[in-house]
Amino acid sequence: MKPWTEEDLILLYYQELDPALTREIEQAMAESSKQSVQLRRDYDALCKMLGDALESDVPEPSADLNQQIMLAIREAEAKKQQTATVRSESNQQHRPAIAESLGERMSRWLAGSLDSKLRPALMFLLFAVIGIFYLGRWSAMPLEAPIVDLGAPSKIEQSFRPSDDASRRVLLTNVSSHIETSQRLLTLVSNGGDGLSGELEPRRQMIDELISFNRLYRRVAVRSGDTMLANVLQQMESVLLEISHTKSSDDAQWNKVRERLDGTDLLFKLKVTDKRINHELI
Amino acid sequence: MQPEIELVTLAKAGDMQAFQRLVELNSGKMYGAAYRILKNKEQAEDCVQEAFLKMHLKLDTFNQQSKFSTWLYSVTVNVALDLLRKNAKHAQCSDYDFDQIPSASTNSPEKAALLSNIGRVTERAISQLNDDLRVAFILRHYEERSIEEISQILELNASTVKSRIFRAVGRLRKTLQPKVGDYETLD
Repeated sequence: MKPWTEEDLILLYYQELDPALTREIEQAMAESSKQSVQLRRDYDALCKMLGDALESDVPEPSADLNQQIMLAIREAEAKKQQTATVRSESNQQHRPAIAESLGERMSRWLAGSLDSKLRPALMFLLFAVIGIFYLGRWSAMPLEAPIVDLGAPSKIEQSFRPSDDASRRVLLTNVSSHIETSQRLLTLVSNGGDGLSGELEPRRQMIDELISFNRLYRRVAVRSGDTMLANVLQQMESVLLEISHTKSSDDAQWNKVRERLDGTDLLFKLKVTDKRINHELI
Repeated sequence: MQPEIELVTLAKAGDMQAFQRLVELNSGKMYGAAYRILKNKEQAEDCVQEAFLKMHLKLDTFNQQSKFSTWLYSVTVNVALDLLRKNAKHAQCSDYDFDQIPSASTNSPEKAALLSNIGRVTERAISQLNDDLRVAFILRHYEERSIEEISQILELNASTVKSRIFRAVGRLRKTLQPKVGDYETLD
């Protein structure tokens, strides 16, 4: 019998073995020789390990994952369009204007205002100015340029570079202010009655901005390992998204948002988080 | 339901609804792969979001002759690997002491405890593999991608992919088998 290797058995398990070899190995396992029994045992052991022992669960993703993906894509798309619009507008408006003013003025000046006798003198003056300019540059050029390490920070840079601690304080101040603004909005939603939709309508843009900033701060918190802050921001983000997507006239939907706010104690968590941040700042 | 290839064509032409449908159809799969690589729910979600953003930006470059799922996995795995490199978070769980887990060779209540621990042990064993072996193994075993597809996703030749899978299975067997004992006795 052909000596089968562990690699053949792994390929057989994943159905990646050549069909001819698959038939051959199956025939070998069906025989009753000592080697065949051992081969079957080896294959069974492999199947047990790969089949049963290597089972692992994946937790469910957030319910609004798809919404968040699409929101991020729409934001990126809007930014792209905005940049493109600004560029094309500035190209259309400024360039022709500059071209017209410079070109027209030059031609008018040369054709109209200059006397034909003055033109050679002017040309001479122009060449003289250009010549002096290049002569000055050539004489100022050092014989050997000093080697400058562009990667190394300059002295000014070194003295003004903020420390990590300072950066963190600035970040925490911004996060605290973000939490306080969000807290005010969520309190408004939590206490809001019939006129809530009217009160929220002028704040739509602010809500969208809060979502964007929240996503940014959440990522920073995740990257810096502050899981507590990241979790609270994650919860807040989903509530903010829900508020942003809720139609102003849908009372049932607003009630759901309110129930979710009360059920998760989000306002309380925000208060505690804000206090913690302020404490760290002090 | 529209076939995926049709949705890709529409999305390429700028149809956002078609792209949204592609997200709905594939985000779960991508999240599963990202989670298995990153072992962190939030990071996996961020990874999927970033991967779809990249896909949306580079949709024009997608060659429709290759499989869309291969491209999706390719982008997602690369984003996940970038995140891994940035965080080096997987290193935190590689210090698990396998010698602390009781052996299954004895017929005792320990065996029951061991079985309940198997999932945890398995996860630790997989996280002990280096990134190259782990990603190849995850794509073949959990994501059920063929070796040919994995070679396209990871831009490697098929024999390298096979070798990584063999080494991964070999190491897992070496780590898990002494703890589980003879698999036949576990039934």
